[in-house]
Amino acid sequence: MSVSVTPKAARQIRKALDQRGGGFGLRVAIKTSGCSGYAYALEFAETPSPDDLQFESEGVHLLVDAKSLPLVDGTELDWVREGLNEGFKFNNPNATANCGCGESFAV
Amino acid sequence: MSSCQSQPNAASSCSTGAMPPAAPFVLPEGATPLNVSDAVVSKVGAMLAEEGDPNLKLRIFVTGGGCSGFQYGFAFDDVTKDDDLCVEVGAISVLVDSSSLQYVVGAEIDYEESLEGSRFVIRNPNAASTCGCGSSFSV
Repeated sequence: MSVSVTPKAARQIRKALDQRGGGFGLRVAIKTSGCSGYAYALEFAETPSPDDLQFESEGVHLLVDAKSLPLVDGTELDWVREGLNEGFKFNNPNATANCGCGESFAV
Repeated sequence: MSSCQSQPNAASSCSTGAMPPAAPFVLPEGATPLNVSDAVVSKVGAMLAEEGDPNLKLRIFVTGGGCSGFQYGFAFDDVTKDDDLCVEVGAISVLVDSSSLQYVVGAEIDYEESLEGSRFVIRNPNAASTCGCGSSFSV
C-alpha cells in the first residue's frame, strides 16, 4: 500500500512547508462529505500518530491514517494549473466518480 | 460611449466600440453588479504584470456543467464585447457577458489561497446550492 506525489506536487509541498516555517510533511486524510461521498483533506503534519502509515515520495514525507489508507491506496498527488486556478489533484485509482471540481451551482 | 460601471477607486477607461444591442438581461436599477475583493484586485494585478499586457481584463462567465448544473469560468480576455458589463476596481477591469450576468448579479468575487491550492471563487446569492468544491469522490 502506498501514496505518492509527482515532482510538481513535491515542489509545492516543500514550498508550503518553507512558508510555514517547517514541519514533518503532509497528512492526507479522508472525510465523509462532499457530493460524491468522500472528500480529501490535506494538512501539515508535525509528528506521526501511532495509527499512521508513513510514506516518502520525491523527498517529501506523507502521513495517512490507517482508516483512510484503503480509500487512497495507490493515489498519486499532483499539482495542476487549471485555467487561472492551481491546486492539488488526487489521481486515485479507487475513485469511480469525481466531482468536477466544485465551481458548480444550481439556481 | 462607455459601458463601464465604476466602483470607488476606479481607475479609468474600459470601453466598447459600439452601443450595446438590446440585451436579454438588464441590470436592475441600483443593483451592484459584482463585488470584487481586494484579494482579486491584487492577484489579477500581479498576474497581468507577469503577462505584460495592460489590455487584459478578467472575464467571468457561466456555462452549463458541473454536478449542480452550472459552472463558473475565469479567464483573461483582451476583447470587450458589446454585451459585456465591465466593472473597474482599482487597477483592474472585470468583464461579464449579459447572459452570464443574470446568474451572478450581486455576487462576490474573491481569491483564496490555502494549502490545497489557490483559486478564484464566487459567493453567489443567486445560487441555491453549491458543490462543495471538488475534492470529492465515490468508491
